[in-house]
Amino acid sequence: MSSRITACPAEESLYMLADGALDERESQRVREHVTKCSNCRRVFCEAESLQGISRTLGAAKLVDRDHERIKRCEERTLPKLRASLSDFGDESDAAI
Amino acid sequence: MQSTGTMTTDWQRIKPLQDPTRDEGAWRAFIARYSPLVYRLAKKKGLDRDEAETIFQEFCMQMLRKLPKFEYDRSKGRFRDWVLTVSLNLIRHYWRTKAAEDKRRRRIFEQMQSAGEFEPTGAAEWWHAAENARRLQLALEALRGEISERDFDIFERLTMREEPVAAVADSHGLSANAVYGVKFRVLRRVREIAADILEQE
Repeated sequence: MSSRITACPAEESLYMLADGALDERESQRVREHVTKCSNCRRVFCEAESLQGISRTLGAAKLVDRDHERIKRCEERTLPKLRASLSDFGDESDAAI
Repeated sequence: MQSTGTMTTDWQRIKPLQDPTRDEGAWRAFIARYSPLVYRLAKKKGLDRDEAETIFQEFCMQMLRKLPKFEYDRSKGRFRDWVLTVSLNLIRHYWRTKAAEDKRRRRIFEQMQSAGEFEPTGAAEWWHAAENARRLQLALEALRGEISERDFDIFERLTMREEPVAAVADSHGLSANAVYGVKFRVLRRVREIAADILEQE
């Protein structure tokens, strides 16, 4: 590993590194730079943290089954709520 | 990008439900917000699909009864923690009722009780992770109107559908670098909005 700091890579390369999307040679080149450049290290660390958000969103995405369930919950729950809400119209006391 | 000053917070979304004569739009939003969480919690606690949906229905009825009298005081705890406690109590009550009718269920219920399965502290970690994921989803929904359709499409295909970068870039006539730029710009903004939501909950 050379001790000379190479030119900073494009910010997008740091994002790609965090996403594991660079080929081996490029990945090694950017990684070497990151170890020596505090500014790029900061961007890379942030990119890794953002990748965590990306993974969470990807894993938590609502699929059709979830949307169907939400719809089913609406269909089952709203009529009951409507009935109770009309009771509220007759009584000022909120307790049911 | 716009500020999130107009973002409705969790509590602001809930508050209209304190007035029980309100139209049902707020309830629809409430159902969309909480049914995935409460349903998954009930499933996690051993209930089947129908039972989990029944729990959610009961949960909404409890909210209808309790919310008009609920006083939001953040120093006494967060609304979302209160929601967890209400959900767990409903699940425990359901299990207890079933346990009285069924010997096998009684044994399971007793084991769950002694393992602290119905205690908020035991479920808090899972609940908060699920809440965090739901908060990120809400942040993304809020962001949809704030960014271009192209950027949203890029983000959604990369993150939610896990399509190859090259295919997404190609379909928009962009380089892979540019597509990554969009993805991380959107992620940064999602993080900001989610932090705002959390701050105001």
